[in-house]
Amino acid sequence: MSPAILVLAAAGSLVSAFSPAPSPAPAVRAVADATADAYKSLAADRGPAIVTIKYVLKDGEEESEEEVQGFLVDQGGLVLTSNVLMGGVPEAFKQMMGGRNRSPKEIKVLIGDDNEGLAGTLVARDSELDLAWVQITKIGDAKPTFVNVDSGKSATLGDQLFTVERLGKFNDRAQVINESRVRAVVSKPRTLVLPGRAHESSFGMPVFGADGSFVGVSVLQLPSREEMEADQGGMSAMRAYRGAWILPAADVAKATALAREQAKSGKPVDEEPAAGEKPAEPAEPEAPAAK
Amino acid sequence: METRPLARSSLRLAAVLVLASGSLLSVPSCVSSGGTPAADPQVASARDRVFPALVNIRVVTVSYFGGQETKGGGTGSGTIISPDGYVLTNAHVTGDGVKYFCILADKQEISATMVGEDPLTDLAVLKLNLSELKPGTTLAVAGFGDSDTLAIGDPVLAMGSPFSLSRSVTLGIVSNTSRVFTSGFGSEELDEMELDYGQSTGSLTNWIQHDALINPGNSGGPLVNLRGEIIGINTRGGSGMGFASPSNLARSVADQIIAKGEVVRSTVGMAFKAISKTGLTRGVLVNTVNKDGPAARVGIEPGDVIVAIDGSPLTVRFAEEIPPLLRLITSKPVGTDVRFTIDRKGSTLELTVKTEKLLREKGDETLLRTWGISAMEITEAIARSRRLPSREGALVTGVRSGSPPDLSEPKLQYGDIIRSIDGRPVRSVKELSDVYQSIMKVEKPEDIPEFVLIEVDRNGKNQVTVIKPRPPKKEDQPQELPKAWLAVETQPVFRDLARKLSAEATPGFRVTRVYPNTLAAGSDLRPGDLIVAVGDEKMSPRGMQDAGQLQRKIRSFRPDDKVAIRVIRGGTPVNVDVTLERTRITASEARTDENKDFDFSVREITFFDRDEQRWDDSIQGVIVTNVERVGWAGLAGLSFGDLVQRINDREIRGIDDFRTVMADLAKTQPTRVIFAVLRDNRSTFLFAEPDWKPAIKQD
Repeated sequence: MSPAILVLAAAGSLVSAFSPAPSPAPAVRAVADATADAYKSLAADRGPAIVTIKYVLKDGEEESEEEVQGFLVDQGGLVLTSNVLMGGVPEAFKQMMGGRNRSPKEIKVLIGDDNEGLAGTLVARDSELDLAWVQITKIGDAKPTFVNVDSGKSATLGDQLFTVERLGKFNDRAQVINESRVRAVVSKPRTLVLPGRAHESSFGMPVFGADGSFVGVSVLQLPSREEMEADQGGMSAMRAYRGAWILPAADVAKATALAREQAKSGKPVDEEPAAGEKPAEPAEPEAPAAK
Repeated sequence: METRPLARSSLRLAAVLVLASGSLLSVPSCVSSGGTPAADPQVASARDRVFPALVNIRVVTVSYFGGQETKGGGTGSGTIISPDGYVLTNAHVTGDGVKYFCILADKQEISATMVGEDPLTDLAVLKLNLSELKPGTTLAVAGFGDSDTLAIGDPVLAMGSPFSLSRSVTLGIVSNTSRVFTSGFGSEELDEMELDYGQSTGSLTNWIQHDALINPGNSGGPLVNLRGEIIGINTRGGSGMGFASPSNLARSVADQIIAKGEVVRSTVGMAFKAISKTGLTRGVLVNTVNKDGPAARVGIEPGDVIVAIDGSPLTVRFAEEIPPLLRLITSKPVGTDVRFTIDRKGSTLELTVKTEKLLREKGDETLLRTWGISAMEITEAIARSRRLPSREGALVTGVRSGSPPDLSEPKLQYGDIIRSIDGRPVRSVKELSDVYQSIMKVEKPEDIPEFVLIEVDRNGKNQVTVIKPRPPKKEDQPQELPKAWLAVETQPVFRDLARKLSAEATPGFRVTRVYPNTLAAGSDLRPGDLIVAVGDEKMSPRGMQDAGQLQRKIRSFRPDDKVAIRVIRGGTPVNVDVTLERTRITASEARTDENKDFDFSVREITFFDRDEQRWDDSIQGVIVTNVERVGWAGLAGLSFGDLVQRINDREIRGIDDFRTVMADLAKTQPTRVIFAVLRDNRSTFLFAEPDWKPAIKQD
């Protein structure tokens, strides 16, 4: 969408707010219709992939029922969401503060406005990327709509961004469209896209471009352990970080492939060194001498 | 022993504190110098007659709160009152107890069993397990004196174990022989005190007030006259005042408990008020008449004035005279006809009331552990106070957060009366426990039904809900996705530091540690090396914002990738090839297990634990991550960070061993469990004395 049309659209809404609404100029109406069509199209095409994840979170002796959102990434019932939404702690906090992931249990995945849910298991986490994957235990013959994370596109400065989210159980889990634009693309500490404020709290949600293509997942990104340690606790580093960032589609696809692999093998991270490599004691330091 | 509320008004009881205590407070020490005169011969004689029979009582308690079980412990004092090992103490010392231990004068600690408690007088009797006594031990026994002969000013000795310290004696005088607690300064209304939630106490007692110093821990200990006789049982104290239950009352209660396990009392179903402020000159005012009680059935009404009982004239002017009246009525055999002469608005009535058995106010409790529900028997007092139409059902006293009934819709909640479960009637707390056990005690967890229907009454409305009663499966949390890792710790070297370190002033990442037993350790990387490039990418941190550059770059590879690392060593560039490896599991990702029988959690040892603690592979075990203070493990002294290496001589090599051993313990239910732990790299043995879940706890 060109800047000129955007200005027209903004002017149209201002006019409607402060004076009797005249018939919109043809160009404005065209933009409005196009946006309305995009909303409807997203809701129809992408909305069904958005699921609600219910679980019981145990934190010490207290247990609480939680309800978050995620999205299906294949027809086999693999669901992707934000790690912190599933009781995970960001990577930096795990070693620095002894933070420990809280274990969700009794996970149910609710597709559409279903209220019963399908049993699920948390199969993998990536604390660094803020991703978590839940596998629906028995998907049955259902062929649910999913978001193909392997066919994503990159987002660039100024691109339109959309998410489809769902309201809570008191509002029929109705779909909500959020819209913003790419405000920045950064390469450090990793490649990330900064969305508009409409997406500041869309953690775990897939983000789409104007043509409905998958551009990434909205995630929490905090400084790494090394960065926080170098920053004497990381407060200035923390301040530099914002709400949700968009993790590019390519990173999501790569991590999801690994998660699928891990979910299938059922094997945890290998503790042992690779076969054929013999570990050894480290060499003595040169200088300064170790004490 | 936790402090219990004894009265509804904290102001009234500002000076009164419960004596049993589980905490040790600081006590000033008292050092005597030489040349002190010998003890008063009478004091010494009295001490020697009772002191050997004094015991320190240790109680392991289980109580229910919020649908959960709380274990605890407390201490108090007691006296051996018979050669066959009966020990008299306070009911608030033994309350909620599931295990009892007595330390005798010769330091022998032997277990004891509960004979009976009498909450109304706050007295209880334990029986020592004499078979545990060392051969040749002769039990010392103390005798009772006549508390009715006690006079204000008489010297008395208080004996016991204040603050759980070893036994002590203090000396004082009797300040009052018929003290009662009233509901306010100048009030003539007998205070309604509660021993525990829903259980009143003290209304039958005219306390002996004295100033022999007593403190928490003295509870249940004897008050002794100079003849060496028990003339009271110390029960309350504070602000320099002690209050003892008179020996004549205590002896009578103890005799009945020993004979029948309980004290059977009569009731006529009414409460009384002294007449000092009524303008009346004789009799006692009927203050309350229990609906449908014996007095109500014959037509006695609140406001009536009773002027005689069984023909004997009666006047109760002051609150101190109420306990004797209550004792007169309650001491009559159940079913006795009592004739009341009543003055009602100038007319005289003769009404005869047949007494009924005085029932306990607080009912049996049970915990449906997997369901997270605690429930209580509906006693007459509870039914009356909650305005329930009958005593049928079980009163929900707590629902654990996140438990099946808490997650059901609608949720079960405090105050609900459970009427039926899956169509099976629940008329009592015992039936609730029976139904629960019939559902849950099955061979395999999958035999437990998926849903259970519970019918409850809630504020007069009949409601139904379903819960999912199956316990959740134990699942290890998912592991992190594997990432590539270079097993070194580094320090970013920025420009200024780089200038001091080398002539080239090259920023980079200085290796501060190479983890042993890793692929990095097998490479040529060394502490002190300055990493300046990984592959083709320069590692050149400009400030703290780039401190994560190296490891972020490393994580962009796959585990097992070989990478070329360029370092500066001693001013000379060196190329080092390193095979990356998978990230090691951190404490936050380690497998864990939580044991609810002993209320503690553990996790497996990680690579980083071994590195930090310098543990080689011969060190095995599981690391304690959480201990509930009031669980069996907590009471045994298990602490955060302990490495549990053996449990009852079975080796614990990891989480799987731990789960197996703990599951076996739950089946065999031993009375003692020994944890061999490594704490601060020193071995320690800890002894737990679990109680294996009584189905119903009686109070």
